[in-house]
Amino acid sequence: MIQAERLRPSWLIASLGVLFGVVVASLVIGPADIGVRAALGEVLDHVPGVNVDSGLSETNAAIVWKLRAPRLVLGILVGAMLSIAGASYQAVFRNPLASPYQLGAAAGGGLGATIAIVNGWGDGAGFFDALPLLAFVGAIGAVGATWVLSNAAGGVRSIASLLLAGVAVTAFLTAIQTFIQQRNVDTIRQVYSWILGSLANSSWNEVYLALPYVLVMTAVILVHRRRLDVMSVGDAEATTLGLRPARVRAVVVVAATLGTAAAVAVGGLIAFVGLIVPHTVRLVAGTSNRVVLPLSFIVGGAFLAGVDLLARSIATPAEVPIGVLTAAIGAPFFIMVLRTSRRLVA
Amino acid sequence: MMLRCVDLRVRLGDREVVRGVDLEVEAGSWVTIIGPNGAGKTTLLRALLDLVGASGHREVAGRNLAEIDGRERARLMALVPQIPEMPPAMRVTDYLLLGRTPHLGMLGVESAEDLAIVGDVLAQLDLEQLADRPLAQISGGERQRAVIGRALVQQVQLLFLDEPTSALDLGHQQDVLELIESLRHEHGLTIISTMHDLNLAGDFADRLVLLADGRVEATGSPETVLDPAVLGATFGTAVDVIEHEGRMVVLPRRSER
Repeated sequence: MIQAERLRPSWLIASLGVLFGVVVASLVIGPADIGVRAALGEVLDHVPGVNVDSGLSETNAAIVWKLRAPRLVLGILVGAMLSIAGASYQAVFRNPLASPYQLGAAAGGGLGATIAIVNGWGDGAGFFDALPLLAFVGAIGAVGATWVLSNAAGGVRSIASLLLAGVAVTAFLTAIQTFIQQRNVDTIRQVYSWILGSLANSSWNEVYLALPYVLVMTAVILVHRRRLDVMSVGDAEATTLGLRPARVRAVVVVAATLGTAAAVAVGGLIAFVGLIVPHTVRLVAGTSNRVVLPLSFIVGGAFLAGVDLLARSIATPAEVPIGVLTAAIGAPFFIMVLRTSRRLVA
Repeated sequence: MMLRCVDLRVRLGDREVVRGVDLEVEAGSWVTIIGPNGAGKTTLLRALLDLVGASGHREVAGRNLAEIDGRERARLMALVPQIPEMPPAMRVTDYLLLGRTPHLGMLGVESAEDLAIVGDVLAQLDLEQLADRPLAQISGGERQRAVIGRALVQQVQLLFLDEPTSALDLGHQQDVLELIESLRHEHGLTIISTMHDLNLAGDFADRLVLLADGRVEATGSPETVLDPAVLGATFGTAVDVIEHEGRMVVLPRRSER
């Protein structure tokens, strides 16, 4: 019997298993000594309609529910979003190196965050904290500028003009950001700590800020998973197969960008996740977007939450910036992927 | 009438590449567009498929092409490109399944029927053994059959072939064209192709359209179009046309030394 390439249940179960392992480890590991059963009980107790006595002291209960749990959930959301967005960009631009950062999202987010920090608006106080909002607006604005510029230059139908416009916008915004940063050297440490990415100090507020974007944008991307497979034969052939490539590209780019902007807003500029995770999934489980997109989401969540656990554990009580770790793991990995993909293409 | 165009024009940059082409293609026939390099053969094909901006009137199956949306077009006509983009890691089966795209719903889930159609085409084109192979690991002839297979899976009435034999050796050229001929009869397809090789073109087409400099220079049966005087003028070289066992053979004449 003929069968289309699809996500095999074994891969789904394995990836969810890894995610669950990371969840448990993240809830349990830390300076405060809390057991697996107590930690899970405390989390379950917060599920509506469930009543479990975890037996934890008030302090330890707060450590699990107010410190470790939101940080873990945020790590999963950010990692999942950056990964599935990276996979979408790679599919839509048929470029294994594509990521939302290339269209200016990182530079725009960085500029927004820098403005918030040097003005003292970003003190992490509550839902309407200016830092994530400005970072979000900056990221969206930058990708929007790239889009408009590319339209003026040669049309977004041309992939090259879009990527080149991204280079120009990134260079320009980075220049402004560096200028502002140089004029406010007193806040340079804060700016850098944001740019390198961090999930420390995260609360449920950040989770609520990012969650709707992550869910909606992921759903939009997943609906297009088969169309993205069709796009792999190029725009002209995809058109003869009944697709509107320019429209699919626009919808997927907008969804991936909004999702990325939300992730950047709450997690800072965490590098390489959008490259490492989708490429690993492709190498291991298959190249169809029906496999790559959902699996990147799950594995990306597990990966970033796992790296974050590492970031807060290897130098306790200090924190290693998570962006430093993802890049340190990502760069060598990247070389490996390049070597392999050259073999695949040749 | 399967396809009709009136005063079709295509401008690429500041050059008019297709310059007022009128064409009528009857249902079930095989029409081959011939002509020298740069005559506009491929551009004409792309214009008939609306893949390039063109002016003029186009009709498919009696309907104005402008009023048919993309999905429906893809259920009426399919293209076998000269140099298809073939994702190296995609399996032959999944490649053929792409042809079901215009028949699928919003979520793009293939039904048992879609899979059965692909299974039939794999069997018909002798691709069953290769069904699970990645496209990077099959030969040139097999690739060409896979592309034709994808077009068949689309279940169209009109099949466009852009230089279907240009990448193939003598034996595979013949195989592919005979395959297309048998599929035409079996599925009642209308074929519009471009072709470089005048002998193959004359052998397989019902009607030839000789294109030169974006205009139709001659059209009709191979016997009338493959005329030494017309070909000589169009291709810029003297040719002999010999009849051999009821087939037209075009032989370029060497220039005198």
